[in-house]
Amino acid sequence: MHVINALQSLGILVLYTILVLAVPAAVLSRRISGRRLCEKFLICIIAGNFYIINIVFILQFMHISNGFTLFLSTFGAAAAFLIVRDRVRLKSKLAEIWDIFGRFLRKTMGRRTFSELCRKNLGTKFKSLMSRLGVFLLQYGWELIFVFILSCVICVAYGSNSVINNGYTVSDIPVHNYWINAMSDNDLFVAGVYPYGFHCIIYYMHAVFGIDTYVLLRLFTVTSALYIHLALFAFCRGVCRSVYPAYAAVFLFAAVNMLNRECVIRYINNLPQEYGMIFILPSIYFIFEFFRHQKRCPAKLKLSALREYPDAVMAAEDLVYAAVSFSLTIAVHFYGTMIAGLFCVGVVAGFCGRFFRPRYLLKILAAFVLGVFLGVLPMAAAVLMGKPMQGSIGWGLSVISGSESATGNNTIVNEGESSREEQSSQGQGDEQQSGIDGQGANQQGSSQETDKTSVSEMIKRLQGISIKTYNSLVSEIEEWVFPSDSVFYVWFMLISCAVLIIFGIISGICSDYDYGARLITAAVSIILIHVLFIADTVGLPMLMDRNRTRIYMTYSMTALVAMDLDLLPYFVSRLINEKRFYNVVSLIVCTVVCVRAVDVYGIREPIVYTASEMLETDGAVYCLGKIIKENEDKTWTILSANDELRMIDNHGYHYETLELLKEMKSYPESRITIPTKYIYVYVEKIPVDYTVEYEGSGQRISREGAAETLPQFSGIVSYTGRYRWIIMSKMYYWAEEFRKLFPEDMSIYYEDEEFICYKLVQNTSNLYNLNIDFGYRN
Amino acid sequence: MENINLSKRIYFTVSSLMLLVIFMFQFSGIIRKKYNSFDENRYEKSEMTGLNSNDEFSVITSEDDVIKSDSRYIVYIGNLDSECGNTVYKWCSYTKRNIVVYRSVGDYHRYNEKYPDAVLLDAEYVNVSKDITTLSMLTDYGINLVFCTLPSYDDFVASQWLSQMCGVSPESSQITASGIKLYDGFLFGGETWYTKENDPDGEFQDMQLTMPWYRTMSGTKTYMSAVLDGVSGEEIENEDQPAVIWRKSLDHAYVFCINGDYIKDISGIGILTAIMSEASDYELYPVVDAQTVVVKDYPVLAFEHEDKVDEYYSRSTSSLLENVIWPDITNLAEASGAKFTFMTAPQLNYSDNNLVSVRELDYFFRLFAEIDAEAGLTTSRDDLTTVEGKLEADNSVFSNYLENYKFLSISAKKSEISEVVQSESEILDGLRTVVMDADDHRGTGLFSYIENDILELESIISGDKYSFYSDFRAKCFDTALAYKNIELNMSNVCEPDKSEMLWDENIKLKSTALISYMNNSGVYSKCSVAETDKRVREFLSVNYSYEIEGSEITVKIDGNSSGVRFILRTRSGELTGISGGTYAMIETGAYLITADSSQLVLTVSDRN
Repeated sequence: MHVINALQSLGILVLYTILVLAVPAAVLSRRISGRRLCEKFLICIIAGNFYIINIVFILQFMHISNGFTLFLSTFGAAAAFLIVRDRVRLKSKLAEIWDIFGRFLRKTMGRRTFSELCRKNLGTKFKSLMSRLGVFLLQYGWELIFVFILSCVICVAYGSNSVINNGYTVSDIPVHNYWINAMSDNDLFVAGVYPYGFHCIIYYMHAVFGIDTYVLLRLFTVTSALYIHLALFAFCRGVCRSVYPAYAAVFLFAAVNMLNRECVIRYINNLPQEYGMIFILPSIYFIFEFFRHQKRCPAKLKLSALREYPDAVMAAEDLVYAAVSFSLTIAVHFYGTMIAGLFCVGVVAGFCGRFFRPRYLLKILAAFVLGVFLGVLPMAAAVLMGKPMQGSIGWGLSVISGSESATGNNTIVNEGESSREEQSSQGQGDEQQSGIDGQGANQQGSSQETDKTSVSEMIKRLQGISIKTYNSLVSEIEEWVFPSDSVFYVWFMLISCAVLIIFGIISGICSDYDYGARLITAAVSIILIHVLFIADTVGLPMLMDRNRTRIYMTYSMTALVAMDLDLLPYFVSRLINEKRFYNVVSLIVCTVVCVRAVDVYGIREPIVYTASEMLETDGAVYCLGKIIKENEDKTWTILSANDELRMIDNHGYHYETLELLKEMKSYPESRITIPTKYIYVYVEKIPVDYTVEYEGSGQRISREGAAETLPQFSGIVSYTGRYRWIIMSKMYYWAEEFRKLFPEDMSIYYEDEEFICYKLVQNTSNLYNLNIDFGYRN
Repeated sequence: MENINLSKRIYFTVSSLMLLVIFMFQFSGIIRKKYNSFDENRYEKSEMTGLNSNDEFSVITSEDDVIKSDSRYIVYIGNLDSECGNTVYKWCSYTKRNIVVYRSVGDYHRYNEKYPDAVLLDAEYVNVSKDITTLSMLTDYGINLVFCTLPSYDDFVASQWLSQMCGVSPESSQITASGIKLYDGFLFGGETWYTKENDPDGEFQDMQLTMPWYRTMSGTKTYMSAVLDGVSGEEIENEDQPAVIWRKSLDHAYVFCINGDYIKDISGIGILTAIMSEASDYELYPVVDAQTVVVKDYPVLAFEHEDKVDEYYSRSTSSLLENVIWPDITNLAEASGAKFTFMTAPQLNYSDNNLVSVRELDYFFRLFAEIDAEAGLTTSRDDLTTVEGKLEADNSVFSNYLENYKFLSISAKKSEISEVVQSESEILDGLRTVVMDADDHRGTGLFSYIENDILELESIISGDKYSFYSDFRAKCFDTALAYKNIELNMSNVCEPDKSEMLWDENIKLKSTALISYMNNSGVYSKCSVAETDKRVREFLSVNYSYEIEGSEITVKIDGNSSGVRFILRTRSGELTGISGGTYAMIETGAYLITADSSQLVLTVSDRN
C-alpha cells in the first residue's frame, strides 16, 4: 500500500503539474517569454488555477459539468488555441509533410530519399530541441538541481504521512469530500455558499482524470504542500537580489526543527485554507512588479500606445496577475485573503512614495476591485440564485464583525477572559484617570509642570503597554510558535523588521526605490501579522485564532528571513556589481546560517501521525479501495463509523454503525435490513481517537467496552475518544455473533492488528435481519 | 462491346470450380452414408458394466452396527414406511449414510462416541410439549435438527419454546399464497420465482400454496418463502412473507424447518442434501451425473392413421415424421443440449394390416446414428396384443432388417415390468434397463434393480408441459444427484384428433418444458439411457469415506473408483486444487468432481 500511495501521490503531482503548469505555459508561452523563470512559474499556477476554478464554476452553473465537458473546455480549448495561434507555422509544416508523403505515395520519391528526408527532418528537430534544452540547462542547471532537492525535502517532510498512513487526517475532510461529491451531480454549493476554489480543483481532477475523490483528498497533500512552498520560494527568489536566500529560507522553514510542530502540521492536511496560501504571495509579488514596470512608463500614456511601451504592457499584466491571484485567495479561502490584505497594507507603507500618486493608485484600486469582483462573483451569483451561505461563512463574518470569538470552541472562556481583561484595564484606566485628576487638582498652579507630568505619564503608559505587549508576544510565541527560545524569536523579528525598514529607507534614498519599498513592505506586513496574532492582548478584535494565524505568520516569516539573508549580498552588489561575486557571498551567508540552524535546532523529522492520531486505520482505506475495485457500483454497503460515508459516494452505500446499534437498542424486536448484496462491516480493533485523546487511548476493543452504555451524542461526538472504543467494541461482538450464526455468508474480508473488515453476502430478495441479540444491546 | 473468346484456360478454371462446389456439397453426405454404422448399437460395448444389485451399497439401520461403522449416520424420528420415511431412507442410501430410526423423541439415545449428522423429525412422531426439552438439549450438544414436516400451527402458538427454537412467530393457521420464491444458494439453478410475475396466465402454477404462515425472526435464514399478496393494498415485505424452508441459527446448532410436504416426494432428497450443505463447512456426496431424455414412441414405423394425418396436416405420415417432427426434435435436442434416446415403436396396432415401413426404419436409424442417439424399445400399443406378442412381432421386424442392433433399454408401464422381465423374446437378450413411464412415477423412487442385472429407471419428470413443481423437482434432483430423466411422450402425434393438440402446439409446450428443465445443466453429462444406466450402477455401488484436515479433503473410494462422481459444496471455501481426479464448477461453492483413482485429495481455500 505504501508503494501504491507513493506512486499515486506522484501521479497526482504530475497531473496537477500538467494542468496548472505545463498547459498554461504552452498557452501563455509567448506572453510570458520575457519574464524571469520564477515569474513564469507564478503566472502559470495563477492562470492555471484561475482558469480551472472558473471553468468548473461556469459549467457547474450551467449544470453541464462532467469529465467530457471539462476536458473539452480545458485541454480541448488549449489545443484549439495553440492550433489557431500557430496556424501559419502548422499549416506550412503540414503542407511540407503532406508533400513528402504525397510524393512518396505517388512514387515520385524513392524509399531511400523518403527515409533520408524523414531522418533529416526528425534529426533537425531533435537537434534543435536538444540545443534549446542545453541552453535552458546552462542557464538554470544548478538551480534546477537545487529546486529538485528542495522539492524532495518538502515532499519527504510533508508527504511521508500520506504515504505511510492511509486515512484522513482531519475531521473536516469528510465534509469537503461531501461537497465535492455533490459537484458530480452538478450540485454546486450543496451545503451553502463557501469558497469553492480548492473543491473545484479536486473535483476537476476527479472528473477528468477519473481519480476517486477520496484518493485525491488523501494524496493531494504532497502536491499541495509542494506548491505552497514553491510559491513561497518563487516569491523569495523573485524579490531577493541574490540566488540563495530563497533556498535557505525555504529550507529552514521546511526542514529545520525550529517551529512548533503545529505551525506546519496542517500542510499534511488537504484543506482549502492551506491550498489558498499558494496565492497570497504571488498577488503581492505582482504588485511589486507593477510598481517597478509602471515607474518606467511615461506618466501619461494613451491606451492605444500601450503596445509601444513593453514596460507598460508588463505593468498592465502585472496588475491583472495580482488581481487574479488576489481573487484566488477569495475563491479558495478567506483567511488567505486577510493575510493578502495585510500584505497590501504593507505595500501601502512600503510604496507610500508612489502609491498615492494617481497613476499608481487608480490602477491599483481598479485591480483590487477586479480581484474582489472575480473572487466574489461565483459566490455572489449563487447567493443571488437563492443559495444560503454555508454555516462557517456566517461564523467567519460574525467573527469579523466582532460578535463572536475566532476560536469557536473557546468562545465562553475567551469572552470571560476578555471581559476580565477589559474590566482590569478599565480599572487601571480609572485609577490612572483618578491619579491624573488628583495630580491635576494638586498642580493647578503650574501649567508647565502639568504638561511635563502628563508627557511623562504618557510615556509611562506607552512603556506599560509596550512591556505588556512584548511580554504577551513572548509568552504566546513560546506557546504557539517557537518553543525553544521565544525571546530570541521576538527580538529577531523586531530587529529584522527594524533593519529592513531602515535599510529600506536607505535603499530608497540611494536610488533603488523598489528594493527598499519591498523590504519595508515585508517588514510592515510581518509586524501586522504579529499584531493579528496577539490582537486580543492589544485590544483589537481577534479576527483569526492563533492556531491559524501562526501558520500564516511562520509562512510569511520565511520571506522575512530570505530578505534578511539577502541584505549583505545586496549591499555587496551595490559595491561590486558582479553577479558571481555577490552570489558567492550569498551562498556563504546562507550556508553558514543553515548549518548553524541545523546545528542548533536539528533537522525536523518528517511529520507522520501515529495510528491513533489518524482518523482512519490503514486497513479501512485499503479495504475501501479493494471493495470499490472488486464490486460493481451500488451493489454494496459499508457499515462503519462516519468517514467512509463521503468516500464511497457514487460507488456504494453507507450505513452508520451508531445507527445500527441505536436501532438494536431501541427496538430489539424490529427488523433491520440493508438492501444490498454485499455488506462490509468495519471494526477498529484498536479504535482511533478521532482527535479526542482519553486515558485509555490506544486500547483494544473488549467485552468491557461493549458492556458500556451506548453513547448517543449528535454529530461525530459519539465517534470520538472513549465513545468510539465503546461503539467499536459493541460492533465487534455484534459481527462475531453474526458470523457465528451465519458462517456461510459472513466472513472475514480483511484483518490486521488494528482493523477487521467482515463481508456479509446476502440475497437481495430475502435480506438478513441484522438485529440480533449479541449480548450488548444496552 | 469487345468480343471475348472463351479460352481453354478459363474453361478449365470454371469447370474446376464447379466440380469443387459439387464435391464440397456431396462429399459430407456420401461419407456420412458410407461410414454410418446405424445397424449397431454403439453403446452396447462402451457402456457395458458388470455391476449389479450385489454391488449396491446397503444402508445399515441396526443401532449398534451404525455406531461401530465408519460411515456417517443420521437419526430419523418417524416411520420408514411412510412417504417421508421413504425419502429419508432413499436419501441415506444415495448419500451413503446409515440411519437410526426411533418412533419417538423419547426413545432417542445419544451416543457420545459418535453424533449423528442431524436428527430428522417427522412431526407426526413429535410430541412438542413433551419433547421440546430433549430437542433443546440436542441442539445444545451441537446436533442439528431438521423438521421434515412441521408440528401443527397450534403447537407453535401453544409453545413459545418451539417458536423460539424454530425462530418464527406464528401469524396465521392457513393462508393461500400466490406463488413461491426459491432463493439463491440452496438448490442448484439459482434463484427462481414460481410466482405470478412469471406466470400471468396461471398455467404453470402447481406448487403447494396452502400452508400456515410463520414469520421468521432474528437469527434465521430463509431458503424458500411463499408470496402472499397484501391485504387492502398493503404490501408485505419480502422478509415477512410466509417462510417455507428456513433455518434458525442457535448457539451451537441449526434447526431447519420445512413448511409443507416437500419431503414426502422423492425430490425431498434435494432439500435434505441442500440442508446438509448449509449445516457444515464442506459437504461431499456421490452423484450420478447424468441428464437423459427419453422420447417415448417415436418414431412410429408403420403408418396406421394416414387418413387422419392427411386431414390435419395435409401430408403423409412419412412426411410428417421426417419433415416436420424430426427437424423439430433435433432442434430441440440442440437447443436444450440434451441427448435423446428414442423408444421406437415399429407398430402400435398389430391387428391391422399396416406393416412396418422398412424405408422409414432405415431412414431413422441412420439419423439416430448421425446424432449419436440411442434407440430403445417400447411396450406401447393400442390393441389387445400382449407384451410378449408385441415383442415377438417387433423382433421379427428388427431381426430381418436390423439384425445386429442390440436394444439395451425398453420403455414400459409399471404394470408391465414383470412381463418385460420374464419375456423370452430374443429382442430383449441384451436388455439392461427398463425405463418406467412418467405417468407411473409416484414420487417414491428414482432407480432400483428389478432383477439382479436389470435396472429400472423412472422417468421422473414429464417433458410434455412445463410446470413450476416439475421445475422445482428438477432442481432438487440436480442438487442431490446431478441427475434427471425426462420423458417426452410422442404417443399420439401420428394419430391427430380434435381433442388432441396438434404438433405445432405440442412442440411449443415440449420445448418450453425441456429447455427450462435442462437449463443450468451446463456442467452435467448429457447421456443416453445406456450411459445413464452405467452411471447409475456405478453410483449405487460406490462406497467412500472422507477426512478433512486443514484445507485438504482426502476422499477414499472403496472398490471400483473409475468414473465415480461427487459433488463438493463449500459454505465459504473455494476448490483450488485436486489430485486423483478432475473438477468443474457448478456454481459458487459447488463443484462436480470426477475421480480417476481411489484416493482424491481436494484443496480448498477461503473464498475471500
